[in-house]
Amino acid sequence: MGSHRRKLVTPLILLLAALSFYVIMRWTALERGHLSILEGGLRDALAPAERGITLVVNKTGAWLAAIRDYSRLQAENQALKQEIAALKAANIQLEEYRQENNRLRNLLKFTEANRNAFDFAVAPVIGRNPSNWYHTLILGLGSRAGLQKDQVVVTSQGVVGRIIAVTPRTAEVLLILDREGALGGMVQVNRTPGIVEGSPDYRGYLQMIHIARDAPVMENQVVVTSGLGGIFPKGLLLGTVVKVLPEPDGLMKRAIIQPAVDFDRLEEVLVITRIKGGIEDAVPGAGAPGAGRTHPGGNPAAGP
Amino acid sequence: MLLGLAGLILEATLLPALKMAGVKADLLTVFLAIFAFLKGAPRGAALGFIYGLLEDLYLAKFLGLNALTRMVSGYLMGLSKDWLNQDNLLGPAILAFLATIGQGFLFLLVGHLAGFKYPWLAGLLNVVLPMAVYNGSLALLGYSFYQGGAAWGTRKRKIGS
Repeated sequence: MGSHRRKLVTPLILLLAALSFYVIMRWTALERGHLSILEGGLRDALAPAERGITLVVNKTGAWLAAIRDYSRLQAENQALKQEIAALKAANIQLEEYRQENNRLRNLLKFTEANRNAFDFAVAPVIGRNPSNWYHTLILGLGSRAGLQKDQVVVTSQGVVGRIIAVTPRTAEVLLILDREGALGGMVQVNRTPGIVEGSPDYRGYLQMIHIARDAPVMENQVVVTSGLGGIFPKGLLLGTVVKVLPEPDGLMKRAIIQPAVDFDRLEEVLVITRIKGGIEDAVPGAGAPGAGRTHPGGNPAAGP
Repeated sequence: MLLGLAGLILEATLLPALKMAGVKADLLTVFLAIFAFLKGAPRGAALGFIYGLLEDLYLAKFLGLNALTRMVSGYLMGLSKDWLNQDNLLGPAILAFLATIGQGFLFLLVGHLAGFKYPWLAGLLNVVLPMAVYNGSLALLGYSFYQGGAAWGTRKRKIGS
């Protein structure tokens, strides 16, 4: 009997143990906010060692990967450098396109606003006069594109000059800054006329000469073309008066004018290839009583 | 000749962006000053004539005006070969400065006779003088580079032999 009982004890213990583990398993299968002391203690005790070993393994793995992938990484680095260089170049090109787009948009606005007065051709500026004595530009369009001598060149800011020579592929523009580029101008607000030319003593500025001493010309007044001379249409912007100086003879005075156009930064210009309705009526609203007479002919673009 | 053409193209394209006191450098005068300083009067005059003619043809205005003024200045600058030490870096700078003033004066004088009436005082003060300083500085820089390059070439030859 005693040995029979002893034979039953072991399976009974195993059964109880199995049941206990089953209960524990069921209990621990649920999501628990807190682990038991035993579980928590073990996990906390092992954590530093785990952290250290994992760090070493990761670092070593990264080093090994770097060594293993060195040639691939080198090639990739080279390719990325090339890609960066290409993207930088593309970025610069895009910036150029953006600025060109802005400039052309301004020119387009100007042509739209003046479509009833003029026909235009857009021409690129390809060179400037190498001498310090003359102020001319070379355009990248010529007689093949319909450009002719004495056609007027403008930008959306104002008057640039007039064409003085053409070849089949280029045209030379005499800037209004040049001593020989004189043209008829007038103060817009009071229609005081005068001759506008490049100033020899204020380089980069224009001057309006032969103004009567008592004429009401003063600073900040806008000067536009008068239409006299038969080449420049009336009412195109020339610049703003920045200074008025007496002439040595005491009878006249001259006005120094800041040009509306920045001649050093011209990249594209508009050539007026046709003036609709003649020089006098070219710019709508430019005419005013006593504004001056029309001189016929001169600009080949002028016509009905 | 090619250097002159390159100088003209640079003057028409790049140098307007590098203006100082409102004027561009005159590379042809700088090249001419260095050349005449090294090679003497006859060759200086010849190169001056060629450069001036090139410029006149490019400008298509007062043909011969620059040929004449540059030929005279090339000759006069070339005379310095006999009485200026060629190791002196200031030589071409002084020559370029004086040549620019001389050329400017001649240009204004001949221009007045030919119908290009630029005011004398404004021309000399606002164009010629700043240009002379600019050209003189460039000639000093250019000749320093030239001397440096020549010395380097000599050293290389010595090491080679």
